[in-house]
Amino acid sequence: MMVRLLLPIILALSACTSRPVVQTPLPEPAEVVLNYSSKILADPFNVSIVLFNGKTSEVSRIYAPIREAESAYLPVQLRNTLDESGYWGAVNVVPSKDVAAELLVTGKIVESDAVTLALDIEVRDSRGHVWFSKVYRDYAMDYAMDYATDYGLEVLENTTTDPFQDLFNQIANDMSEAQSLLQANDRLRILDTSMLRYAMLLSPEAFSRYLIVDEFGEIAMQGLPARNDPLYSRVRQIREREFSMQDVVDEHFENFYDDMQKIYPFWRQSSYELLVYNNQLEGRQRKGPRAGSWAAVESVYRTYKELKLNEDELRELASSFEREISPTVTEMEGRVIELQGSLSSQYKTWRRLLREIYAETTGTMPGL
Amino acid sequence: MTENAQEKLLFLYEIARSQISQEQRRREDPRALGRQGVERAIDDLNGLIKLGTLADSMNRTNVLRIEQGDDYVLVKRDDDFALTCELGRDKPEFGYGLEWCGFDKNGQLMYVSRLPEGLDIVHRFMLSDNGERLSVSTTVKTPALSDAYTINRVYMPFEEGGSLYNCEFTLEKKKTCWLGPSEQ
Repeated sequence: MMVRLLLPIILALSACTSRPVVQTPLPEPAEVVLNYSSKILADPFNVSIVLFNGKTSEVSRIYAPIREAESAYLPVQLRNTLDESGYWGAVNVVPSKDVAAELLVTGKIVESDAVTLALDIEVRDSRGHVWFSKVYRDYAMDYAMDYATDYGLEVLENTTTDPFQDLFNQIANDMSEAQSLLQANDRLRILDTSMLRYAMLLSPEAFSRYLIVDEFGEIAMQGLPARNDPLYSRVRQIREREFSMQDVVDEHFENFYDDMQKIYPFWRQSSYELLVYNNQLEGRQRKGPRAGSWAAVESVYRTYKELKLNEDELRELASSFEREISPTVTEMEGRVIELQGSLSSQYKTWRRLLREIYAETTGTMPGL
Repeated sequence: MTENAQEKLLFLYEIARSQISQEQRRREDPRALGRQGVERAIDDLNGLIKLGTLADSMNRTNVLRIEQGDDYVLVKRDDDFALTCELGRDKPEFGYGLEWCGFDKNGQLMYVSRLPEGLDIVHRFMLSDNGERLSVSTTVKTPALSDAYTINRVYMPFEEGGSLYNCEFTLEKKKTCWLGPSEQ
């Protein structure tokens, strides 16, 4: 359930280090419905979503691997939501910042536990123009229901299976709304600037004159190469190869997401149950100790054990992900190429090879 | 010395039964304890057996793999969840229930969990002076019973050899186990 924050945040939670503290006033619960595109766009933007930054000093070393797993899991959830909306071209999760992306989404996990998810999201186009940068916060529906009931608030029915799907719907809706404000001219510039920035990566000396960067980091186009410019045509061809690599990388993240799906929702569920127990316990402690039934005690321990076992699995999964990325074998320009190492290093190697191939075939100096 | 949970429970059961019999004899009249008193005593006995069974399930691991860094201790247990401890936290963590871990003033590693329904679990790791024995005591307590239940197990250090199972989680094969030394 997405909760619109009318007033300052009411729940103070941090993953594994604090418990819910309810203050007033409460947010107003609202279900966010994903906006779907009603028409097929002629030239939709491709979107690159960088792995979220999950590093924060508040997360203990023990829980850091789980946060690391989330930093790859949550971008895929956003990608799936953007895909579903139908407003975008190829939406890919990438291991590092792609400066030539038509639309680049970066995010930081501000908070993530069974009850709260908060993401700091920035969306920027190839011109360096920031569409928006804001913190999205969502609360799991049942939790909100408990308190909404206490405070007599109306709770809307949520039909999605993921308790935080509203948050991703909201990001997707904000992106499509920001896109709808663009003029046709803006759209063209974003596409051209993206291609020119990519060209600059391959050959800065040939293409840097077409772009200038202002003091705010925004990029303005000074012109475009001629349509029949052979170097520019070559750039287009090379970029097609880049897209195929992005698909390979994206597939790795998709597989990881599928593996996480087998554990993560259960971890969240058992975390949630224990957090609810916590709240009940807090109330009971105020009234003095009370002996629970034996069945309740056993149930608590079962939930606790399940949570801990899921945490172990999530840790294993997160550490296995980077360790086990298999080499990517692909063919390019008649050569068989094998990329090894982490996804990030495979990606870097791939780009270096593309630059070398470009330089060899055009007789130019490779870009840095 | 490692305790056998069933023997310990049998022992406690005999003590409790003996106490009930003594009480009945003391009053000369077998019915003097009263039906409610006997039922309560039996309830306590049942509760104790359940608590003992639960404690045994928490302390049944045959092999511990302990990993320690400057700021953490990780105790991996076969067939059970790992006990994870980030050292240097003065205050208990309010995560799921209340959890605390660290070394006490005697240098013993402790994991303390206070869970909902008043379920308290304490794991205490005590290393012998020569480092050749590790005693792990697990204490479980609930408000339903006045006494806590403690069970001890003693572990010896070992070199990984051909007779030991090792397991590894991989994305491709999921969890796989084999006999013999670790592949790492």
